[in-house]
Amino acid sequence: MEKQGFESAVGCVPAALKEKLLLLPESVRAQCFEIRLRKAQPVVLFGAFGCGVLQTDGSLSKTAGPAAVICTQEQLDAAFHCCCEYSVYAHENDLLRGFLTFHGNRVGLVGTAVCDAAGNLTAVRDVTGLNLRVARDVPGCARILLGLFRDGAAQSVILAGPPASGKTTMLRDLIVSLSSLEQPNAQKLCVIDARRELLTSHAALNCDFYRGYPMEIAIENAVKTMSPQLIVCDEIATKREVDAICYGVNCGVRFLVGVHASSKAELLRRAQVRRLLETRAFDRAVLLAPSPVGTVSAVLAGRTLFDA
Amino acid sequence: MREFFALLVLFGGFALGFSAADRLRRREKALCALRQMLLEVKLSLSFGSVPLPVLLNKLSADARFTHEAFLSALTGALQNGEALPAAWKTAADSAASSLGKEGSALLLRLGAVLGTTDKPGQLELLSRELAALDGLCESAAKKRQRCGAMYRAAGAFFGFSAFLLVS
Repeated sequence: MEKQGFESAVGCVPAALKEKLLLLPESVRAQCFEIRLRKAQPVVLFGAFGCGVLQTDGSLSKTAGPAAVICTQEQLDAAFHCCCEYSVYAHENDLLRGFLTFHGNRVGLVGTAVCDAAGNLTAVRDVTGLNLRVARDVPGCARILLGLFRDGAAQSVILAGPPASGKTTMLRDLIVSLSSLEQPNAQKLCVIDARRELLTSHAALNCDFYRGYPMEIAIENAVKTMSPQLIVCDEIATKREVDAICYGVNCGVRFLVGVHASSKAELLRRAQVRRLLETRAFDRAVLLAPSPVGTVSAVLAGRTLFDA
Repeated sequence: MREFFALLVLFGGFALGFSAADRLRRREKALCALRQMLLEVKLSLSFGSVPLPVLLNKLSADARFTHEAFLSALTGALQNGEALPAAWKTAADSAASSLGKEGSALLLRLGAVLGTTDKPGQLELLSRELAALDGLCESAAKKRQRCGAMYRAAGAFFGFSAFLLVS
């Protein structure tokens, strides 16, 4: 069971800094979706309120003044090690992919790359910035999309939206709704949770989570061994991931996949999305508006997608 | 009354000598248990990527380490919500009496780096500290053999001498 929200995301921050963050008004905490910690720089928050710099009195300011809270190297290191569960060796692969997961909240990180002679990234050292993304459960936010997955209304669905538009929140809610044990005729659902952020705080779910697996391996394993009817994947990006999805589609599995795209034009321009559409299995694409979080701006269907 | 006092002095002398010898034995035992625990940590790191707090909690439930002062203090602090570096320092300080100054210093040195590097770095660190711990165990065993019997004999001698003087 993982607690979601602002308090959960700042759980990795050292006490002195956390104290200041928790002084923020409830309204700000509720609307905040990113906290940026940078070495020897002011702490910056992003949210529905825009961008704000944390002040020592627990308020937000549009600019960094003398009262801005500065994140020290020690505080940044402490937060980084806490996100790593004090075990950097256990998160080497995640570090190479540029993120960690802390209590279901994705933490992006930047630092200095260590590459081998061939130019392959082998390690990351001197972490200089963390982006704590606040994960939230918004029960019922995906209710509007549930019809797509019942009674065979759609085969496979693409959920697209710009960054921080609520794709993961929507996926999380859809997973809960589709795998609820209170529903009759539950589907066999597999969730490919590559970044370990889709597992929700709901205890009784009739679905199987592949946590931290590379997506292509998880899809192949799921198709071969778990006989899923629907596979949910968050944020596909690479050709190998799309290949794995095509393999799954050819095996008769339906998919719900998240992709980054701000508009219909951008969505249809993306090579990986075009490959998915070529399978003719993805017959719905849901576009999310940039804000408020989880707002559906359009549902594209049938010829709109295939003829694009 | 005099006889009673003489007996008290006799037993006091014995107790003093035997407790000094027992302290040496307990230090050697604590160092060996710590060595065994670090070997287990190294083994787990070699074959898996279990995060340290999980691994330490698992080891604290292991019957071989349930009486290990450092580990029980460490897991106790972790369960109280302390961060691992702070919990490790608290536990190393509290175990100084059983492990000795050198053992405690080794733990503090280890705690500052444990968990902060990649797997090869961690394995190398553990190998180095285990080698240092081997040395400590060896010297503790030698000291116990050399001084243990001497303390006991000195305690008995002091007790008898005082007993004869008093009685």
